[in-house]
Amino acid sequence: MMIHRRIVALTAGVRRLLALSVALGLAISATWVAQGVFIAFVVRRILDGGGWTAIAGFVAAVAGLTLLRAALLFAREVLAKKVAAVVKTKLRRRLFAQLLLLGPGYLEHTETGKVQSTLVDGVEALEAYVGYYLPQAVVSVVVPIGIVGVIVSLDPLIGIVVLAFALAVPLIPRIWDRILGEYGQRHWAAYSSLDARFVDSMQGMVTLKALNASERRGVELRSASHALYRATMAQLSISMIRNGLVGFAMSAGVALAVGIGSFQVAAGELGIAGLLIILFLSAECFRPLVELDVYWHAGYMGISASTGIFELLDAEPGVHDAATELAGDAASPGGGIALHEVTFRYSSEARPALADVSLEIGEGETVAIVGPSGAGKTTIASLLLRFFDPQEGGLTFGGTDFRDLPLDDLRRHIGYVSQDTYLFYGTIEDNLRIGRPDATPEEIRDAAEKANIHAFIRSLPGGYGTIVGERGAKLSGGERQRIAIARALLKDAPVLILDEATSNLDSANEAAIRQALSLLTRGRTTIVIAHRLSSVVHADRIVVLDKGRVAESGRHEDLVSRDGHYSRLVRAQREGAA
Amino acid sequence: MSVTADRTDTAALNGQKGTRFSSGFWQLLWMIRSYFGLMTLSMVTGVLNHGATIAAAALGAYMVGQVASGAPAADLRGPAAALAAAVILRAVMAWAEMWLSHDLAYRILADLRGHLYSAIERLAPGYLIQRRSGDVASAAMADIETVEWFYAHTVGTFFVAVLVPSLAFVTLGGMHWTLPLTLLPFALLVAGVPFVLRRRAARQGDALRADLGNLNAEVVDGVQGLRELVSFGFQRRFLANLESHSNRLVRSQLAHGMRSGVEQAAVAAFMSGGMLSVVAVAAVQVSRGELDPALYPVAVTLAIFVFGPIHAIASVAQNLGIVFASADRAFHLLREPAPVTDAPGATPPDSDLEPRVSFAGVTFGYPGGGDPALRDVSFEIAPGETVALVGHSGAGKTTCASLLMRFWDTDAGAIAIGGHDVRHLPQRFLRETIGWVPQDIYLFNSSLRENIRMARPGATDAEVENAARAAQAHEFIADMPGGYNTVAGERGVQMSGGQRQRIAIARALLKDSPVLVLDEAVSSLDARNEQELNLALHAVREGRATLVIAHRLSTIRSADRIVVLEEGRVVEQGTHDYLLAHGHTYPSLIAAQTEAAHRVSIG
Repeated sequence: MMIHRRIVALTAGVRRLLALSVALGLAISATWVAQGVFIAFVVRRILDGGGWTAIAGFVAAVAGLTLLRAALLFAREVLAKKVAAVVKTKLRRRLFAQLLLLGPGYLEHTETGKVQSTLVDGVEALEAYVGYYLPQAVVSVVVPIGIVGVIVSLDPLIGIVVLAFALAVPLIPRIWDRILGEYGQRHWAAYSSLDARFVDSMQGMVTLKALNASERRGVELRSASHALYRATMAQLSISMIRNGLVGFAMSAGVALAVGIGSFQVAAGELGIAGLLIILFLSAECFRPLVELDVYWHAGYMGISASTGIFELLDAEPGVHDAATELAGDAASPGGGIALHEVTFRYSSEARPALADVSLEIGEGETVAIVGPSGAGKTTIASLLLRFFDPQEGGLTFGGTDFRDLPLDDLRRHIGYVSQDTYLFYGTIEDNLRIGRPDATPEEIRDAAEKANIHAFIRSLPGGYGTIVGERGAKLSGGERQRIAIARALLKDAPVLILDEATSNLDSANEAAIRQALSLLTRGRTTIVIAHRLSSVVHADRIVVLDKGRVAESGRHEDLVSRDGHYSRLVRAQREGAA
Repeated sequence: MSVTADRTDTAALNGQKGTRFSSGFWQLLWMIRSYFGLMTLSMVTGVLNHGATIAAAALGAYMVGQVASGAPAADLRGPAAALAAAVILRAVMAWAEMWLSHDLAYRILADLRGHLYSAIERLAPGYLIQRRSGDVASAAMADIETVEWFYAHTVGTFFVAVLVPSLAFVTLGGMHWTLPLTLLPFALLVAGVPFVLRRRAARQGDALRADLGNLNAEVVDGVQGLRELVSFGFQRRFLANLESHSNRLVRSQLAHGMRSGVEQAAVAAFMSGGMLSVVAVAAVQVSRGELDPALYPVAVTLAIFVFGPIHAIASVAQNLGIVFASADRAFHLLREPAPVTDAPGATPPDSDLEPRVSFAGVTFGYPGGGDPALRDVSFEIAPGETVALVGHSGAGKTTCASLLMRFWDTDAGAIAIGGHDVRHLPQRFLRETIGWVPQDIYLFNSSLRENIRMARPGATDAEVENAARAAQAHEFIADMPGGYNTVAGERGVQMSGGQRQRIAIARALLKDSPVLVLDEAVSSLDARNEQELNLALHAVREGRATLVIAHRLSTIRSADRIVVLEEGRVVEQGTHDYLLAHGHTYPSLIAAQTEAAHRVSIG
């Protein structure tokens, strides 16, 4: 009931350290118990009229126990951190690996802020549960049982009273929480959603300011924050009654034991020695339980956080990696790419983003995909990178079904320049090197030159070592895009996807890059996604998409003379430019 | 707490009294002052809670002492009744103390969040561009959670730890004057351990928060760049990188654990030492006949329990380093001065502003960043006129827009709207005056309707839809499964660049401001949408000053006049035809596009 099995399962690999931690906890309790017994002896001797010499031996023994306990406490604290550290590091790695496996498709349905807080704060929240609560849970079962055994041997009635209250201390909070049910959970859910709203607003602050909405949003958030405070207080006033009950159980347990004992002694049914042991031991019975409660409080955040952690771990990847290494020729697929009657929806209730699309792109061919926004152009790119699998139909690469290709192999063969380029925090060189990790500085420079970004990089104060701000905030759209193009040049993959790769460039840059791109696309299977028709005129074939379907396909010369979708697009563009 | 009171607080915290709040501790304390009554109540309940706990233990020991000295059962009734009363008092006070201290903490927390939001609001966009927003979010949220700990578990505990032992000392002194004197050095040692290690604790706290912040930023980077990580096969390297950040955090945590282990060990040793010396000294006094043997168990029990509250402050203080480091970061953000502030007494002009924008000799360099982005830039936009800013990437086009929005102030020269220097207008009014479609569009995690309505909160659904229609956004929104109620994915991942641009344009149209700034607003649109949008924008240009930043010839040509920027300077301006005939830079800028258009049309 009080042990979360799946969290315990996360401790695989540190079980021995955990056992050591339990042993240390038991040893610490043993020093307390021994000390209580010795002090009882001391008081007994003093009350018997003994002098200083009669107790010197016990005092020395307690002093020894004190030093031993100090050493044990230090060891336990360090061990707790160590256990937690190993578990957290492994878990964090596992979670991110899982996220990579789930891929960008998973983030379409999930908030980045939620995933992020699971990976950092959620994992950190497990520290108290794993490092402190779990070992203490064992200690707090063993120690009270031992002490109650001793007290029962002295006086069964008092033993039963102490046992009853000792059981009440851990049980009351649990029973209380069960009575309250969902009440507590709501509070945490509200906190994480407020957290997400704060992050959202802070990231969009520039937009808020520009729309003059920042003050209004501030008032909203403030009132949400206060509403949350009020809800929290309403909840705490009820849930904290258990603190009163626990405090009652602890004080009443000892008070009743001593009170009953005193009357038993007065009635001559219990020896004074026995009463003194009860006086000093019954409190020891509660010490591990009090600590357990403290750790439970600290570890509770971990249990709440574990929901998010296991949600992520349990999430099913939308695409399954064939994973097996392919033998022979298939290991390095080559040749053309084909879509066979592909139908794809982003969610089951959505309109198909692609409906029954068939498309063959021969090896070395350049195919342009054009069409109005929302026609499904970028969806094709996502399917080609296998961020998703289509619900119907399939894709092949060199005749091999995508689903039979290891994901890494597939993606290694595709270079991708997206319309929304992400640059990582780090130097420009780091960002370029993502395209080819072992590239020499000359190769990097060469790629940058071809992408027409070298001169710009050189003009920066740090050159290639300049740190890129978050989301490349310090670079303009065109500069980011040119860096993405340089990355793709470095990757040098046989298949290239240019997803509106030149949309943010001004004309002079576009002309220069088009040259670089034509160099790059030569001999490669290339898919150009564009709405600027100037960049698709020279494609071997142009496919016009409309509302998820192939409306037309053919060479520019053929399409333009037909009175179809394409010629309408051309007319619209020409009128705009004229 | 009212909003006005919030503002006063922020103002006080941001005032020039920086040195007065130089450490996290004093700032945390300063926040309490508005809650003095609640604070006092929480402390009183705390004292009663811990006092009753010790009283119950002492009363039990007293009964044992009485019995051992042969007192009859009838004499035990009084102490037994007192014991029962102490137990019940403790139960009630344990509840009240917890509740009141948390009440206090959460109330202050709610205020702190508000202050932090205001701080970011004041600092955007400069501050957000200079720092990783993951870092800022972590400072704002996690630090604040940690600060809760201070209010709920530290301040009250501190007070209780002083008062309750003092009462116990007085009781011990009543038995024999040597007893409190024996105990005092140990009490001071127990309380003193954390203070001895405080500096180290603070340093470790700083390191821990910083490492956590870095890890957080790394994770944000990985999550937001997941597409790139996966498509470049960079997973393994990223995981290794993440692991090294994770290991750095673990090392900080282990160092922290070593120190807190030493603290715990020392505190436990001093506590037992104190108890033991009372055991010995009281024994001597009993054997000398100076202390009633029946009180001996009470003295020993008090010596054990007196450390309870003192120990509590010690274990609380262990984490103070982390708390103060968090508080310091949070308050640092609160104190950060705004890059631009309203001029004293700035008021909106009495009459409607004439939509005329003028840049006069504007020079500007980004803080801490090399060469000026703009040098001596002058141009004007007359009412009803549309001016296009063109130039290579990095020529300073977006900087002009940012300065007009007054995200920064110019280093030299002035920008005026309707003859009013933007620095003399209230920022609120200025932003009401300008409709802005930025390059990098942010959609909030709420419905598309709300995302558009943001520009004018009072707008009806019909007005929102009309704006969307004019922005060519209605059709694709209506096609979405939830229509206008579709929630925009975070950072608009589910929408294409062109769709986001049209939402941003709908916002600007709904806002209906006299000055319109379009920063590459149509760059991601296909030709057909662009053409229709240009028509719509043309219709609303009447009576407005419009500044268009564009690369595309079709958009540039729709402007009345073109201003060409090169390396932060205006090199030429005029109409398209004039510049084509007489310009130097302009013809080469657009040459590629005129050729391309030519290619398309001849086929």
